[in-house]
Amino acid sequence: MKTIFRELSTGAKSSVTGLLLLSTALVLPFYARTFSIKMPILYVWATFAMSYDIILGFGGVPSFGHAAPFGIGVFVSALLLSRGVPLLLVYLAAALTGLAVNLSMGAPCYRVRGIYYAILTLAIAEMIRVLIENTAQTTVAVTVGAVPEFVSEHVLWISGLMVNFMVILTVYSFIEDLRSTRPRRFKALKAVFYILASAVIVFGAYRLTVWTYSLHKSMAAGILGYRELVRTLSPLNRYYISLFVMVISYLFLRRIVKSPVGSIFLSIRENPSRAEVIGYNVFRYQLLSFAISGLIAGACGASYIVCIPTATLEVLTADKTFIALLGAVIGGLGTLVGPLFGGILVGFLRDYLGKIIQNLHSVVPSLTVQQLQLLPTAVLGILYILIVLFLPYGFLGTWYLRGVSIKRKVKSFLMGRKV
Amino acid sequence: MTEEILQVDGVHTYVSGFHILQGASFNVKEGSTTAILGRNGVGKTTLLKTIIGILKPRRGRIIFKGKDITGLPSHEIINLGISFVAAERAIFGSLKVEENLRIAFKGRKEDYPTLLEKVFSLFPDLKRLENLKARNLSGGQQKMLAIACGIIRKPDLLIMDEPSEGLSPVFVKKVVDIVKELNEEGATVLLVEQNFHAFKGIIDKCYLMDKGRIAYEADAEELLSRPEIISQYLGVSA
Amino acid sequence: MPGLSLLISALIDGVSRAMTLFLISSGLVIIFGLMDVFNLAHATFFALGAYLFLQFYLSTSCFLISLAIPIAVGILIGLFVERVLIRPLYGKHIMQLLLTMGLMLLLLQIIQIAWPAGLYFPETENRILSGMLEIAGTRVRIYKFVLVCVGLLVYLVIDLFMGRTRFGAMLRAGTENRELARAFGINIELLFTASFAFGSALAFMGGALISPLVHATIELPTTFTLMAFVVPVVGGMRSYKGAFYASLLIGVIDRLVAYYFSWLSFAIDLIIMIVVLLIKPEGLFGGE
Repeated sequence: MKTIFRELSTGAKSSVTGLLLLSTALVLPFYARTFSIKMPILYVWATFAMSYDIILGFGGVPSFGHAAPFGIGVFVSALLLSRGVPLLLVYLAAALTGLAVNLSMGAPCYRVRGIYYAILTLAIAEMIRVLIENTAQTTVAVTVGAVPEFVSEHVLWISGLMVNFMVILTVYSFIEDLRSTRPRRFKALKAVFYILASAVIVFGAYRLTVWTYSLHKSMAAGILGYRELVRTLSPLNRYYISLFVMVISYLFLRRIVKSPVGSIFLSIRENPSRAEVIGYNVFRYQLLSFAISGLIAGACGASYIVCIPTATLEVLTADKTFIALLGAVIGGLGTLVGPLFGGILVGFLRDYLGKIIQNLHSVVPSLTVQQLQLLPTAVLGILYILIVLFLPYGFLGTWYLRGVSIKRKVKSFLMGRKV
Repeated sequence: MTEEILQVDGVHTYVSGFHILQGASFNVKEGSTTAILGRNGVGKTTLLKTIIGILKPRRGRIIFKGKDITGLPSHEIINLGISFVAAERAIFGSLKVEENLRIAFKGRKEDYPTLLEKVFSLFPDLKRLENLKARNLSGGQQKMLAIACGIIRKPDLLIMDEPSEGLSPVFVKKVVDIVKELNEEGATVLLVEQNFHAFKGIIDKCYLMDKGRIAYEADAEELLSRPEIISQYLGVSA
Repeated sequence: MPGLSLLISALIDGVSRAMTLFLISSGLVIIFGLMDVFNLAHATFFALGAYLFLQFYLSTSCFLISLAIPIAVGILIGLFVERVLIRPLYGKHIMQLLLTMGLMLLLLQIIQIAWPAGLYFPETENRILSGMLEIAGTRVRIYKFVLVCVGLLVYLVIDLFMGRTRFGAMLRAGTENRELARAFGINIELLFTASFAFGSALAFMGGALISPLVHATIELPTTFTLMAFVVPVVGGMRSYKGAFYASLLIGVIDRLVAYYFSWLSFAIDLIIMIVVLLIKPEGLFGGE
């Protein structure tokens, strides 16, 4: 038993930050309720941006039609959910749909490269949008009841257990990490930080457990009506489902990226002609990146419906492609983690800017609400251009490249000697 | 004491990460005909491209007519009085013969017709084919056009990269004659050549290049009297 | 005869649409040929030209002033974009694509913010601008013929400019071989800036000129963006002549499909593009 734990934590040690973030995310709803209502859709955008990174950052293909697998995934999920299909199957169906769509978008890569290909993807995505606009219903609403609530007690307990387990694992990883840190000054600083962090997440886990327990008691006593139960649980459902999908996608993608396939992707991105000469079938790998990306993008579509139970044509517009694009570029193409946070950042900025601009309405009354609604995207557009110009590797990408020297300086200060 | 119109000093140039020029240094005296000889791949073309600014050196200096031209953009260097005739793809195939000459010419518009006539008198073939697209010319004619474009500007320094390459003996002789005439008019010529034999009569000074540097310098007579040096650096017998 | 009049209407529409396409794409192709930069925002310039023209026409009712302003703005914007946005990324194609994509989206947003309802060309007294003509039993806008003439004129002017002037020769030289052009003493950077400004102004002008016909609706940017991009693909990315013939081909086919097979019209541009990419990827009329 101890060895298994040790194994886990050794693996965990290498991703202390990851575990910390995950645990924080898991207990967040029990600290900041309002904040966690906004997070689910942000997790969707994070996953979406990651999926785009696979195509552009790893496959090296400029595809501007990424809204297609996502949008179609949204519609498929909406249709299936409104017909009562279980959520897991919906996710699978959406992922496979995304896969199919992306494969057909990636197929022309064989004949067509670079700029031609970018134009082609624009055209295809636009065509899909117009097609759906003309032929199908434009809005598909999904009833609230379709998304499964954790009404059953078992699921409540299991989830509570899992969260607690993650928290314990995190704390354990802190300890392991502290053990292996040598320099005294550094160790002390880390210890302080870890203690604080542990306090936060342990307390959060505690609150979660207490809450679960009180819910269990109310349900057993029959005090809590179904409606209230749904109202209490719904936001939590959204939160945990989208978080779960995001983490799973991240782990899945990371596994692929770290594998030999991943390094082939990178070599293709750097120098496609050379990769071709070495013997890699560049097209096949690019198609593979499309397939993987499509799976995740389709799944994002399902997550989107979980968060926002209505599917409109909005999801097929270039605006969504832009979210993926901006998130991936801001975060850092080819880093995977970067786009994850980039997606969250973009979603957050849109929301935040929207709020600020609502207040601007009183200052500049000549602009209508409708016009003001579009300003956030315009601002994001300017931000995007600035990033492409000045930080082409994105925040995380630049940090990876240049951050080494900064890290060194900090470390040498903390360790009291030159590193 | 003739001035040195071009001084190349310790130039290092990297191409695609490869360290091609490893400290090349040489001088060209005004009014002379200087040749840079060497095998394929030693960096001759890279050297020329560095001089005229198409490639930028990482280290070293290039001085033309007393002015430091290291790192200047190509068009500025050209406009200071250097002309460059490339080894291959030396003219614009999609442009007509006359158009090639027109854009090669720099100077006052009034002078253009006279200089054009002068060039045509040197290359009567080109006058005949004046309105043909350059890509429809034969290989030899294209080289002639390239040289014509080089001289229509009346440069202070004419740099030619393998002017006789791929030409039949008739054309090679023509090129030699043109260089001779340019010499007589006082122009400075810098050649890169593999075919030392054809130009030996008109070359004043030779620099032999090896491994990205100038390895040996000699006057033409000295080189002729010591054929073993030629075979050492060019790999062919004189 | 109803069949004939429909056909004639469709053909006239097709040719005028073709000239519209040429006006959008000629600048794009000239720029790409010289600089290897595909400005994804180019068609948005076109749309912006339409909006600016209408904005000023609605206030001044003067055609010439309303035309001059978009052209001037086009030159300025072209200069700015080339200097500030394009030049730093020279050689990094993917980044350029990403950047111009962002610029396109930004401009689309700005257009939507500034003119959320679109602008419409008013009915005027002027026969040329708003009048109709009877042909073979159908009424056709006279302005369509004006457009066709303008398109042909622009083509001729570009052709003359490229073929007869020294600047045009330098442009063609730079398109063929940039490095050699430098060796010939041509200031490539200046050429780039000038041609980018020129191409962009062309787009603005094109937009201004077609706005009396199609108005500046909210769909204008998106519709024409796609069509603008199909033209270079079909005609060859670097050849303005190819762009001209491709515009004719696409314009006429597009309108014929719209008239006779309207169910197909959403995809016809894409189909044409795919067909061309499959059979001759470098463009039907490309490769001068």
